[in-house]
Amino acid sequence: MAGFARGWVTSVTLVKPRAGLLTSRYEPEHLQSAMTATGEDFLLDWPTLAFQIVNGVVWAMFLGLIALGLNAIFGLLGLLNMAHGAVYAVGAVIAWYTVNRLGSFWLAVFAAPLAAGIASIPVYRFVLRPTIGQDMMVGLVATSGLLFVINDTLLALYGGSPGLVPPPIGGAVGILGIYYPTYRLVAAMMAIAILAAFWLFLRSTAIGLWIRCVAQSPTLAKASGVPVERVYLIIVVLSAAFAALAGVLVAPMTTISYQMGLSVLGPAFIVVVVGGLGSLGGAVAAAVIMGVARGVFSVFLPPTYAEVCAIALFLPFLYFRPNGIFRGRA
Amino acid sequence: MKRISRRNVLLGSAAAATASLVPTAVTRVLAQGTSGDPIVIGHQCELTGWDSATGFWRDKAATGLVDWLNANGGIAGRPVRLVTVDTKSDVDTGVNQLRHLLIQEKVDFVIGAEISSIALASNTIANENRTLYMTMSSSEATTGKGAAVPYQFRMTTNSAATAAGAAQKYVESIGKRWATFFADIKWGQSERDWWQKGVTAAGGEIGRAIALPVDAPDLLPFIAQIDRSADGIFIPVLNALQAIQLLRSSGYDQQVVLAGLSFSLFDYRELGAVGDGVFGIETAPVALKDSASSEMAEIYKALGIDDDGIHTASGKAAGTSMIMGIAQSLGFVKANVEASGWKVKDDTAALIRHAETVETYAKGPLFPLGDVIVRPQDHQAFMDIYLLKIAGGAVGKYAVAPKESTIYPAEVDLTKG
Amino acid sequence: MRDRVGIVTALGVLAVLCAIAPLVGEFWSGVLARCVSWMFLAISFSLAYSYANIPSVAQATVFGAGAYAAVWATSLVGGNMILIMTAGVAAGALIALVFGALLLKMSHSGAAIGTIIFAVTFSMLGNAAVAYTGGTDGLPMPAQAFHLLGMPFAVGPNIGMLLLGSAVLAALLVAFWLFSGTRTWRVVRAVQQNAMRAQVLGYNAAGYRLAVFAVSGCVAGLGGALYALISRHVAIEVVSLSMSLKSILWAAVGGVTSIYGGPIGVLAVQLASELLLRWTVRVDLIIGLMLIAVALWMPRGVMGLRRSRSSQQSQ
Repeated sequence: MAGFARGWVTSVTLVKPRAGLLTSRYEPEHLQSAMTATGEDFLLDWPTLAFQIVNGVVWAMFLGLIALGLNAIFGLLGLLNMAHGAVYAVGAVIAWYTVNRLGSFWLAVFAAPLAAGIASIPVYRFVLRPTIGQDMMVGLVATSGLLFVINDTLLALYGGSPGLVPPPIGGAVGILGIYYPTYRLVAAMMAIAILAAFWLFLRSTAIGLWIRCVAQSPTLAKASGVPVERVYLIIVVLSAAFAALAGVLVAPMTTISYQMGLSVLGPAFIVVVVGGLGSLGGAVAAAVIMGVARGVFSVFLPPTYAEVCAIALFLPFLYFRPNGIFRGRA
Repeated sequence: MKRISRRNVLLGSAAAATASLVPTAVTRVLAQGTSGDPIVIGHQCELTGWDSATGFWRDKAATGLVDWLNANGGIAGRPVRLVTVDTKSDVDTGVNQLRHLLIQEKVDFVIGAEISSIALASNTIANENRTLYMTMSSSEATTGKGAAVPYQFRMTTNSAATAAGAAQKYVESIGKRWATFFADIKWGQSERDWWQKGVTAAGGEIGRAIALPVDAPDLLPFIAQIDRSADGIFIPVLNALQAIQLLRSSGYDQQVVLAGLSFSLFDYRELGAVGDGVFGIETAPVALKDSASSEMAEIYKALGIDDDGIHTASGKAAGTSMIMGIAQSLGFVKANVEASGWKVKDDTAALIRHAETVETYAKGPLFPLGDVIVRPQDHQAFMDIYLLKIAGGAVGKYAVAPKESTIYPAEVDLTKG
Repeated sequence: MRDRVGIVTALGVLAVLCAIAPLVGEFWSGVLARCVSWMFLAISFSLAYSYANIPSVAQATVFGAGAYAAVWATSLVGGNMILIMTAGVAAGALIALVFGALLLKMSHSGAAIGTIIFAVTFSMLGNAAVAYTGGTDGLPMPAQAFHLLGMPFAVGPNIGMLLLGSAVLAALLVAFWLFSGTRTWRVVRAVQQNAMRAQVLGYNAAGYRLAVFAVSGCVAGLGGALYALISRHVAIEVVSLSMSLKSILWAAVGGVTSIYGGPIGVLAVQLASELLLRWTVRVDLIIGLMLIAVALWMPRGVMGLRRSRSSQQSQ
């Protein structure tokens, strides 16, 4: 904890405050003179930009991890899983409990995905399976129902107060000329490892082959003896486990609240579709674009406008590349 | 371990979800030493939804203090019945619930919602219904132009008052240069503006204010933009916990001041070691030794809060500003019912006329921390503001801004209507 | 093509609401009035989803635009309710045309995401632009002498607004029913079922879809204006993504393939919540279970029940 509290103090000199050009719009008129009086008239410096890019890429890995399950369920089962964000919140809340009750963060890294995976089996059997193959709306209603149930149960058990999980690894490391919190880098590495492992799993195992078959044509796969049902179940379990794991990994970087899953759902759906349905690489690429754009825009624009631009940036992608970044035109 | 709560004990038990299916309309009549028809007080409260963290305390306070009132002679000798409804932190539900209280429960008085949109949409309706609405919103606009109504009083503080009172103290003790990191929503913007006024009036200066977009899951990109040459950082953001954690781990060693009433939004002990040195602006201290008031001790006892300000049943650190707001609202109702000879709801207009002549509510059981002034023009109360500071893992009193220093100009004059 | 059972059911529901309003009292009249304004929102989603082929997650944004336009119009032109509602319709149409022009080129799921982007960004901007929207505090409807066709009219959550809202909605549904028998509507259906084929047959598929989406915008905007007149206060949460999600759930519970299902869906969900609130704080938990049950046993919503029964009979 002590090391954490000291933090990456060294970054003080590197991440300089900037004078706002456009940001001045945000401030009462008479403050502008005070700002310019500090003599900060440079617009952009490398450390600021590098910091925003690194942070954007790091967040993209978690968003990618969340999007992975969303993508697989949408791509294979045809379900818009509205409850996906709620599973992510469950992961974060489990992390809060293991840290505050059992004193271990790393326990949650194993416990949360396991719990989410196991819980998803009956959910698949009784809620999701009957909605497969029906109109998109049916799955949306069912998973929205799950979202309400999970959120309200979290409120009943965990409560409405926000929580905080201190990063299990303190300090900062130097990267690209800036200092960046070590934990965030470690967590991002773990996310990358999982994404890579999943990719290998798809490429090199029998189940992976089945999954790819089902993704292309469930009927053909069924006809060729692929246990489609089992593939669906595996996808649901993995997707829940990944979402919960993302929640655990993000927990030390955000405020934990029972509703935290809602705000991640929009961005996750955006990267899934922009990246192209069924495209793992596409989703990660889209997540990187979103994260970096958010950071880079925030260097030039007031934060709210930066956030708006980073999201609106995807409209042209959807407009000109309706089948995903890497898929070209329809 | 750190916290053992009734709620947490339920965790893991399959019965938990069902166990919490408690009725929302909690009605209690403990008619000891009281007689006559009960006076019905409705409580429009955020029991669920995003604001349920603060609603938890308003609910606990209202329920506990109404029980206490009934055990201590009620109001004008009559028992008090409390009807609590849940707004779900949602404006449409909140307004419907208020109408339920007014029309179906026919309550005599209402303690209103904390969320400003619900409070603002509700006070018009209560006003039309000629029911006294004790608003709990801390948005200064509630008693401002276009929103203030005769049937509304506010016995809690607001953004304008806390900033006006606290800024001067903090500029004197922390320094002249300030940075602001605010939520880019109405509340954050208005805290930012009032804080700037307060700091400027106290001879300080404010550098760049950094806006935080709604729903941003990661604050780090925005934190990195905060002016490092400032002496202090004022942070009216909803996820203040994370803001403080990131400020400290990013090497900001400035003094950090949370916006008014933030300590009701979360349990300060969540911050752990990074919380040390963080300042807050509340209407009451947390530990009993800081208030040195036998009346406050009585309230803590009635609500099941220990001397350190920990609510025994939930294990949470008390949201004292919420408790004070409820206590003073009940105190206002009790004082004016008794002094104006209020008997039935039709007497409320007379009660309000009387209340407009009462300038000061003296320290007493429901005004436990000292005299409270109510300004007749906009029906806004002014009370001492407690500047708190976390030190050694506990939050203690740092200074008190006297109520006179929190007064800002009224925008309306309801007495001329 | 005309769904006689559908229109009769929907009009019957509205007639029952108006008939029972004097009996159930002031509180429930207000609740029902608000529900009627939301029926426009649910219907606008069904129109966009089932007939313009745009799974719009931004209908609440359009609805909210109508509500804000009503408030702004009131402060500009006073209490003329026809003008206020027209402002709502115009705002809804304008927003829908802008959204629609961008969405048409996108794939089906792309359009859904496009609307998520609209919903999220408008909500963020609306929250920040406090001067125009009042942000989270919201804007009160200016106090005016409201009048409808020269007659004074009391706005607010009351029986008058319930009757007005129901009358407007009934007129809208009847107009739709009449229109659904025309040749033009057959083209709309053809475009919806296979835009490419319709295009090849010489119909301007994009034009039809855009027109239907604009109409759905008008409906949402009109509902928004009524909502503003009933609530007399509009806060930014009306344009939130979760409000749009609510509208989708209403439409789905009622039966998304029929615009007549929207009113039933709104009533089923909102009245269930309102009643549950009297008993428990775990309303969302129960509503969630109810939604799951709907998905499992009534996958095509309330209106779908009728279809499956009649199709069983015909077999």
